[in-house]
Amino acid sequence: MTVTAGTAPTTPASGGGLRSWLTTVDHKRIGIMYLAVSLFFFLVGGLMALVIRLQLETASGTVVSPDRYDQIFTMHGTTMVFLFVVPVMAAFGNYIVPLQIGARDMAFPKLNAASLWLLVFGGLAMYSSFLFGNGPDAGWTSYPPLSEQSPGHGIDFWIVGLHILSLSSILGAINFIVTIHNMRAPGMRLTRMPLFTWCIDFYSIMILGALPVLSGALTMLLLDRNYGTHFFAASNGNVLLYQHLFWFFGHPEVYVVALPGFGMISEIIPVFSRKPVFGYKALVYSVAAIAFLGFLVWGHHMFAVNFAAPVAIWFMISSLAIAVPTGVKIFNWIGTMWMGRIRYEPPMLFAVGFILLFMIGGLSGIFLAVFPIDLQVTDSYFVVAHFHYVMGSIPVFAVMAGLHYWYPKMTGRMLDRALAIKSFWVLFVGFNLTFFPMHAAGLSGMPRRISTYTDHPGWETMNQLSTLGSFVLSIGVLMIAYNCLRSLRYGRVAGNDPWRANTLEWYTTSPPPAHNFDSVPPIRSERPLYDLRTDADVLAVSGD
Amino acid sequence: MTRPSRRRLRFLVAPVLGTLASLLAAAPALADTATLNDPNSPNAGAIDDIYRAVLGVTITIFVLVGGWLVYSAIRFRERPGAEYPDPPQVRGSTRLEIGWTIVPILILVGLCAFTFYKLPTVQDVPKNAYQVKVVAQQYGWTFTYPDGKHPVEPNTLVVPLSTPIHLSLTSKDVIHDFWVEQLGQKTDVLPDRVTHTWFRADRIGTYTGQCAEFCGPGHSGMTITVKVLSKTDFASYLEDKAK
Repeated sequence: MTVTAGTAPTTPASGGGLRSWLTTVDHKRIGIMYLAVSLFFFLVGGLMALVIRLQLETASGTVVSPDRYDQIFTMHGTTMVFLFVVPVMAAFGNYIVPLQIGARDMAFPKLNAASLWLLVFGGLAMYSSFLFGNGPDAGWTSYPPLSEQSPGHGIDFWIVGLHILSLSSILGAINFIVTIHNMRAPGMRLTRMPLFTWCIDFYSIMILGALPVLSGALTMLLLDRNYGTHFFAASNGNVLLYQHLFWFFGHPEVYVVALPGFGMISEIIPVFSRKPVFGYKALVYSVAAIAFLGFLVWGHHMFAVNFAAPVAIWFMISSLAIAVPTGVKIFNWIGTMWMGRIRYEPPMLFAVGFILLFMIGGLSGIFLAVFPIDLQVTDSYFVVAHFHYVMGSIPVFAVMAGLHYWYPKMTGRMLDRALAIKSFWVLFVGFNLTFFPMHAAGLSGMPRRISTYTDHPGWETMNQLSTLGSFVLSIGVLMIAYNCLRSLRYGRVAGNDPWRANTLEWYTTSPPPAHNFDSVPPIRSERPLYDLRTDADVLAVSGD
Repeated sequence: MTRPSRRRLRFLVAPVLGTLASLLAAAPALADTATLNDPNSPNAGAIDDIYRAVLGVTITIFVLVGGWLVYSAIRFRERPGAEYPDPPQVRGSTRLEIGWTIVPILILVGLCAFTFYKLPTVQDVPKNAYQVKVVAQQYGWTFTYPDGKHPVEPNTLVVPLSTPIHLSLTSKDVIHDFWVEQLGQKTDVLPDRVTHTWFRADRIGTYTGQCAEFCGPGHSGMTITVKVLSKTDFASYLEDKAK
């Protein structure tokens, strides 16, 4: 377990030039390209969300036809999940994990490049269906028999695109696991590993457990659609089998997204509170518990299919159980802030905002786990509100916390602090204005995935608030985008460690050289840089 | 105004204003809608009871934990100007951590117990219920009474007051979902099996709902109307109008 484990790639000269980017195997460049690709798809998915919001602004919206509306919400969900939130975690994992463990690169640099390009081509394959007639139109969940009866080839493109994306994620996950378990710097025992790296480890393990099941289900769907099999056919197949397989993947997928977000928050809060993280071991155990329990709860997406009571009760209890380790994380984060000396740089502001919003998403999850309530609110706008407070607060607040935190490392420049703080507040107000009224819309009976609600003009007010909020949210996103682009050139020079942080990525230059480190400091805890600073203080004192 | 107090003000004012603004903007819409629509059936009523219990518990948790978070975030912020050393490097507290693992477990056990207590009212179809067969297809509903007759209006079920109605549901094509919120829980309508739900309307009137499982481009228009008549009115409806 040495730093130069003989896996150092032949990195091209770190000069510019498109060709050097396209052919790179450097984890940092791959990470940045992952980030660019996933943020591009975030904008695409966001534009589709705005179309949805405009359509629903009035009870009988005519912005798009019902057919087109179905394609848009299908691709909004698919894009956000598969082309944004999952790969954006891979972006940070790629860039940060080798640096945090003091490695020179990922274990398999070429495989890493392959994961990136599979992501790009998977996205293109999926979107190319619009060039050949229709987009996929059965929702991001694509339940049969609807998805088997959908005409055209939209869903076939969707399946093939998802296959490519799963492959990308699976290869990436293998790479992360091998890297994390074999390439840590001397002295970095598992108990001294940064929490973000821990979370990427469990993220990868969950991907390996969940995505092959999705691939299996999608293959059966493809065969049913095109080659006359009937795995999910109503006549002599089983329409619910698909839902079991899909959600056996789908629920762990939520934690695939959540865990790296938790990891970012667990890095940021101690740094800006000037304290060690409260209960390091409890945080690692809670991540492990979430990763395990995440595979036992899929049925809570299917309560309405009339489970026998014991089955429903099992899924209720297992789902509620996840609230316990999640609560531990939130309590430990606040415990870290308690008695700290909190400096409100933008990453910390985003982190605190995230905890608050995620708490709303977590608590509304209790309504959905308690299955009698779920039977009223599932498939309504209440559940749309819930999963945006979870799956939306992670990328919009946790990942933005991470972006503001690591941007100086990636670019060597600081983001504009004042603009970043303003954009936080715009996002915070916009996010709540968009998604909070959806709880109310769902409770008053509005189902999801409808393009008009002519019989219920009373739902208009809530929808108009959401529509207004979605534009506020968009302004916040544009402010961050502008800040990121402008600061590339005009940002203050960051230096190695602008935050006085704890982990190894801040030991090297910003941006780091192709080989990452000239040397790695001794590692005696999960905060090697804190140890270095206190050593320096001790030396200074004893030198007097 | 000195610099520290202006900073303090900004940190207090910004979150409070931001939260108030979003809440105020949403308030008119939220006033009536923090709860489920007025239940008109024992199962819907039992779900409403569980909902209110969970709402109370979760709002309490949110106020307590959110309050602890916001208090910590403001109370322990760095005040500029003063030079002070790093805060105490506390690494955790096993006792506290065990505590905030066990307390949530106890809360959840309590919620489960209350849910189990209410569960029979939600799920169990009363004996001697009036049997109605429901067939869904893109994009409408067919209801059939025990004598083979159907209600006259399309996508409309006419039922007698205070009578348990047992619905046996199946689909001719894709998955649909029967949902009339005031009359109880959603039930998926599947093409390869029969599912069951029930309700007992205790007030005369017209109740609306719609398909809650995305079923294609006509999904938005797949509405359900349930008309509740007095028992005598229903008897004459069945005699004269149903066909």
